[in-house]
Amino acid sequence: MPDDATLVERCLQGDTGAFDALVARYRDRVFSLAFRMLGEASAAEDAMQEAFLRAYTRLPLYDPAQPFATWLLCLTARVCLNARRDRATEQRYLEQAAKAAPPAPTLEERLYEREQRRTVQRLLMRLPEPQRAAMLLHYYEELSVAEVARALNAPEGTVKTWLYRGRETLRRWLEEELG
Amino acid sequence: MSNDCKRLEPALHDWLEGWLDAPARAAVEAHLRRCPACRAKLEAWQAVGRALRALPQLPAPAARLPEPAPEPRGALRLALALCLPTALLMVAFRAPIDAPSVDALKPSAVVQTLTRPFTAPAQTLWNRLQEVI
Repeated sequence: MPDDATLVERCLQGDTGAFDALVARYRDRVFSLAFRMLGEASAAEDAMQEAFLRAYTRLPLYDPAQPFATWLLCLTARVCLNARRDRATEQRYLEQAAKAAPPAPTLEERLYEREQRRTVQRLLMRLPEPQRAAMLLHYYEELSVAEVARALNAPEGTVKTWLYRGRETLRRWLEEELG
Repeated sequence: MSNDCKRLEPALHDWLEGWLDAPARAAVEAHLRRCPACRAKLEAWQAVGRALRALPQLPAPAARLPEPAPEPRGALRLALALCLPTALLMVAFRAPIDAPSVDALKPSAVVQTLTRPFTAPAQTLWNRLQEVI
């Protein structure tokens, strides 16, 4: 399987099949990040499509010195931040989360884990937007502070503050919820 | 939690992330050795980081089927609106009518015809219309 750099090069030479291969390689990762940022599958799917469309049209601007995955995920984060401006998405998610029934008490351990993940996701959605984006890019996608700063168009010092505040706020909320 | 702890909290986070220089790192470590509350907070922050990293990657939904291109309803209506009166006029004045090909009935062909400069037969038709009027 060709590496990302080769596929990007082929794509720039007009081989659209190469871009399909990049999409196949990263679609789950892009969708997951979008879902974590937006909290809703349909909004995440829209964001994923928009992110790949932008990646395709902006591929000539891509700097091969940066890993393709980092570039694509930063681009996805920016698409999600724009999508978040539609506050209705957040409202819908919060309403759905509030209505969600607790899991049935079977397969307890797995359900417990799943419930924990749901709690983390739900609390993530309560964080202010830039903090959530920074947290996901840094901890979930393991991007460096410099990369997060570039993705969010913010100074590194600000990103560090978002990470500190985001982590402390999540800690406090989790301790309140889980006791 | 003491005032010292409150003041040191951002530095404690920077220490956890490995962002501190050597002197600041030493100061935080000295505080950590004597402060169980800050050690507990550190562990809780690490747990938050682990919880975020443990969020599973989700399978993206299957690609949506491309939506069929919408019918050019507006253009079709316009073409019919323009063709029908012309056809009726030609019948009324018994102009010879050649059966048009299917391609000639496409809205784009009709628009092309309408934007073409007047040709001789059309001019004749125009003259006959002027006579009638």
